Amino acid sequence: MSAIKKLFLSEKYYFLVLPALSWQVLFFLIPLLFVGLMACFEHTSEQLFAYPTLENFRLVCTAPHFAIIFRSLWLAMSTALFALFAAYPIAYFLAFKVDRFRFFLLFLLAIPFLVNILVQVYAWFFVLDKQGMLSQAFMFIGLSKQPINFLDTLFGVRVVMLHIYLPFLVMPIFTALEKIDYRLVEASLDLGASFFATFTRVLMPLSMPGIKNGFFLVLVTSFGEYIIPILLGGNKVFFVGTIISEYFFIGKDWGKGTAFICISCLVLVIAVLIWNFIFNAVTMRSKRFVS
Amino acid sequence: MRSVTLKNVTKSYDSDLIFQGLNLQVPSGKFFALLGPSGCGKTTILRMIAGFETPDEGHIYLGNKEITHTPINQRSVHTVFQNYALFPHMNVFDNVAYSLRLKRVSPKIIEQKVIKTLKKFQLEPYMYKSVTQLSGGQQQRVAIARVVINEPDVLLLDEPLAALDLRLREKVLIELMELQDELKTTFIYVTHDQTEALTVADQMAIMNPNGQIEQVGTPKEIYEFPRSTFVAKFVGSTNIIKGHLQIQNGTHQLVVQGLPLIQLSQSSEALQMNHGDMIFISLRPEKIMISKRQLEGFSNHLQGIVISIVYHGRSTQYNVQLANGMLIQVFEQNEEHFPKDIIDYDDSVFLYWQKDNSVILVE
Repeated sequence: MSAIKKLFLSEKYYFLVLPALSWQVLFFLIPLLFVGLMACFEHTSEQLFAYPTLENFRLVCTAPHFAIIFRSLWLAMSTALFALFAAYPIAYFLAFKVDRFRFFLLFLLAIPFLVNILVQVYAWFFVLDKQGMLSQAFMFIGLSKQPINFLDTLFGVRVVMLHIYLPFLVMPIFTALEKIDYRLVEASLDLGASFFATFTRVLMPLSMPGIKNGFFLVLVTSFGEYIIPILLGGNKVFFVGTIISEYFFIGKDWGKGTAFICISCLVLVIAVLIWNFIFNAVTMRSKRFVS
Repeated sequence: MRSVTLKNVTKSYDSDLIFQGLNLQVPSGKFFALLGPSGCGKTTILRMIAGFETPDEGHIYLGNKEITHTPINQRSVHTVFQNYALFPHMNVFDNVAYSLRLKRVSPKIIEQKVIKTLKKFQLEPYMYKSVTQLSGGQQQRVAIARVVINEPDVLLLDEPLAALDLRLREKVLIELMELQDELKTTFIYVTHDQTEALTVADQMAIMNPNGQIEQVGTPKEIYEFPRSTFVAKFVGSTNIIKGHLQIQNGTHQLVVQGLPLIQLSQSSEALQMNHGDMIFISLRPEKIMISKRQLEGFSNHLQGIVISIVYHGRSTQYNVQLANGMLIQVFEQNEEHFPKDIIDYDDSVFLYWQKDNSVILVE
């Protein structure tokens, strides 16, 4: 038996992760280390690494910078939470209440992925503009007398982010719910639970892996969101993404830029850990009925 | 413990009529079996009593109280599901404590009650194990413990033994009977297995594939006195003989072409029939005596040739062809190691039975 054949027939398939792992190491881990390293050095026009210093961090650790980081975090968390509340009923409906058109509806949900994000964002201009549909709808209902410009507002940014990120939450929750035997819901109701109790005691803990997956996917990606705030936020309010591009492409200050990346990453990791703790605590409580 | 009554219930899915004008009375505190072939709608009946389905027309009563439109979670009716539907994210204790915790019973009382229940079902050693680690039999005991702890008026069991192996089934059947005897809760047991139904039931109902209830009675009544060809064939094995009724000098006989007259008893069914009616009778294989010799003292005898023999262990099945080509099944107990009269293929034999042992089928 040849060595390669032996490798393929062996019980351990660890070698199968090699392509992905080497990709990750080469193009993610090493550059990330590089970013960390650059943050700890003074750069001059002659030398990329002149001498080690913590000066970059000192300059970045200021109130305005942290304000931007926390504004981004707040936007990311609220987007993820809103999307979670909006996505769960959709996923529930798709998993349990639809039979025949399930894949058609899932396809509809995936349609935005087929369209370039820039096209999607520009399409929103027609909705959010002063003469746009949303403004006209507000005037029609009588909520406002003058046309309202939703472009260049935080509200517009939120609406579009929710729209863009919603499918990222629906999919994992749908996958998690689909695996749940609906008879568990029936059994819970049968034992006297209300629908709400059935949700908190049975459905939610069992679909928690999907909830977590989707939530973190949205939290992490929307934290660094760049295009939507730039195009729809009117560049009036700054977010992490805009600051990074400012440092790298306009200011060409790589030292402060990398230091800022390090700090915002740290804040994001802490936020993720806190949310993970919250989700785990909620799951544990729902099992044991601690309230 | 309460009785369950279905009155004039009609149910259809899309345009598929499951049953129409169904009436069923389940006596209070009895072990009631609902027996029928797959797809006859017996599970739908269970789901309507539990509240998962609502009838299109008709009424369902729990005791004297109408529950047709009562929400599932407000019925004192609990279900043991076919696949048990245990909560996979909870351990045995949490599964059993589920309904009590919903009622906000104090944790101390919950613990006492759960441990008492777990002890009763010999589940105490597995208290903190995940339900997914248990064997099929243990899972099933958890499923029963989980509903019994809440002391429901009616317990619904939807083919609870389907996932267990044969030996375990027999054991669990006996345990279920003992449990029902102890709790006196009304049990409604749905199955397509006639042996299970005959074993456990105090009362049973037989459903045909069209969603109609053919007969209700004790297992003995159903087996010994089936009313219809469907019941006679579905519960146990039987020989159905078709012929014309002849009434002569107050005695009843069955006239079958090519066979001697078959004497019938004057049962209440026979008295409803008229001379010349076409009727069917059911004759259970074990009620027939088979012999190579001529015997006296039987009201009926037929002659035939053994065409096949199937050995079952405790009994032997003989398939006998009569003069008119009809096949008759006979079961004989294997009482002795070395029977004197060995019956073999192609032997000419006599079949004997008393007239009381055949039943006239009404439908």
